[in-house]
Amino acid sequence: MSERLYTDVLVIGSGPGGATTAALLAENGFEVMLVEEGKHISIDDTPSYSLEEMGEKYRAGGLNSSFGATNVTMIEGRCVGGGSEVNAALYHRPKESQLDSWRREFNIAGFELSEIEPFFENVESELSVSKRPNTVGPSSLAISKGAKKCGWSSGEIERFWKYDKGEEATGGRRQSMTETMIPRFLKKGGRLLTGVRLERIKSRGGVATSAVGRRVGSGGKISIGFNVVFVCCGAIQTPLLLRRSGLRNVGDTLQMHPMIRFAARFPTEINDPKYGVPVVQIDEFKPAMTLGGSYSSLPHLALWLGHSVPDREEKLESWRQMAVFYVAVVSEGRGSIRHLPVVGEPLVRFPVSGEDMGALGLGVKRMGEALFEAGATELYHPNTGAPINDPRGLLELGEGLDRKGAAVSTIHLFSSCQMGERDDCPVDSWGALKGKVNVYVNDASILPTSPGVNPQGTIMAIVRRNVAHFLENRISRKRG
Amino acid sequence: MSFSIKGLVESNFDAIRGITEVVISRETGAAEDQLEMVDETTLELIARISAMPPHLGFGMMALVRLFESSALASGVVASSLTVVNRGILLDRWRRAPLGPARDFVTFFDKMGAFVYYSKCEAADV
Repeated sequence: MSERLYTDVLVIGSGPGGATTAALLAENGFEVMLVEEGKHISIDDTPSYSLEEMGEKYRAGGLNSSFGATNVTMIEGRCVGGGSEVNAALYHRPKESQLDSWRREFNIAGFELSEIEPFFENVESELSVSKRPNTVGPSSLAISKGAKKCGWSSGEIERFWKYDKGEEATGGRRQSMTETMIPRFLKKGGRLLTGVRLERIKSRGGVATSAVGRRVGSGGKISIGFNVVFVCCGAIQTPLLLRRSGLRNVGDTLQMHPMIRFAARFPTEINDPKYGVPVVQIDEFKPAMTLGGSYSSLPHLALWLGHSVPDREEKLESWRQMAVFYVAVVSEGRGSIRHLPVVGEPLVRFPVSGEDMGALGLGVKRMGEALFEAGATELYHPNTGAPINDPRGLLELGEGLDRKGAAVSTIHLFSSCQMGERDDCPVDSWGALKGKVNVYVNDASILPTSPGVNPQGTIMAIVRRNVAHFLENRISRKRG
Repeated sequence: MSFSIKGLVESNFDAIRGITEVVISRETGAAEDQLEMVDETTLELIARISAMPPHLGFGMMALVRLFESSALASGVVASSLTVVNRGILLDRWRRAPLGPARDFVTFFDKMGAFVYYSKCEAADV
């Protein structure tokens, strides 16, 4: 027997897109049900970047992969708040030229800078976007120092992070969705349903009527009727759900920022995990390439320090002299998402190209140069773990990174259901699914292409803009 | 419809433990002193493999079985080899021409180390 529920507005997925959508609609008087596949876990319940957090808050425990010439480990959130609960909380506005390029190439209405800028300002003020007070931390300082010596621009990136007056740089509180939009949603009477995986939207002609799926764990069937649905499941799960609902023009334009990590050693301690993810990035090569630092606890160093590093045990004993750094690139690749019957999971294919491997190798070379300038004594080749003791050892990386042994991952997935008035865009300028009168998509999947920066800020601004448009139209229809 | 491969993974405890033992011996130099950690790390890796999407988890388990049987030329399964000889076999797989074999070893190298050190931190070892 199926569990049957009903709501006015159904929002599927509670990441930055879904949580924002649900909160804003609830605050404007709509009856909203927000459905999340994962659990509702406070940011205090699991240590950040820990094994426990991976198990509780990441899809597939952080062990999902796309297939291609090089497989890519895809990190996605699967909990209330989605990726905002587990990411580095870095905030960027994309370049104005990027927004303008989207407007023109995808024919997005109402997307002049003056029209979108207020939504970025809302995100920045409501989510306390700010820099660390006083100091950025030792590994961030090392990145700054190295960039400066190389003559490259770098800077501290703001974060979704709230500091009380007088609080230290290592304090403050992540402004994830469970800290911000979810409480706002619940305060306005929103209904949050967790542990439910909705798999398909049923329709009668051009009108969607209900979403069906199962309770995670028990497998009990559930059906939720609605007047309007917002699909906000993320760049992989949104097109999966839409394809399972009968749409065929989604899921062929997945984009991501492929990333490579490697460790480096310094003569003195530069690693203090209290500072979390380093907040300084090298800007010089953006948007095509971002160079920065990763969380570098001992378990993370053990993960990224190659297995064949000489004296590995000894090196890990002095782990505070080491840190993990990353290169993330914008790929021109376009991946696909397909439903695997029986298994019930998506098959994701993504073509990491020779150019991508070239860019990743070049990025390691550049980051290595900066780190040596900052005083690093040893870098460890990202594929082999072989120690590199001076910049000349980096030269071959400039030719590109070998696919063999490359551990490519990504935490940024987007553009699988692009917005715009072009015929090939599944959703219009405002996220409305073409061919349906009451289905909207409002998450990372609608970004036209890579924003060239950490995407959460861009996603949330566009999501807010789309909700504002929805509200305006509903109000004018009521008046009419 | 979706299903779990947890039972399949758990039934290969010995095989997975054998590989984990090699990884930990490289971290500590003496896996015999770390028997409890080997078991804890193995159980965690079993949980992680079980949580993978089924099409990945099945692939991983096929490779576990293949690794286990790849020592049969010497008359025993891989988990019955000495730690040293199992390590030699794992190194051969690390250099294999086939990508899935190398990815399999990379998984245990990286996740095995991450889980081991996470468990050590939690136990304050």
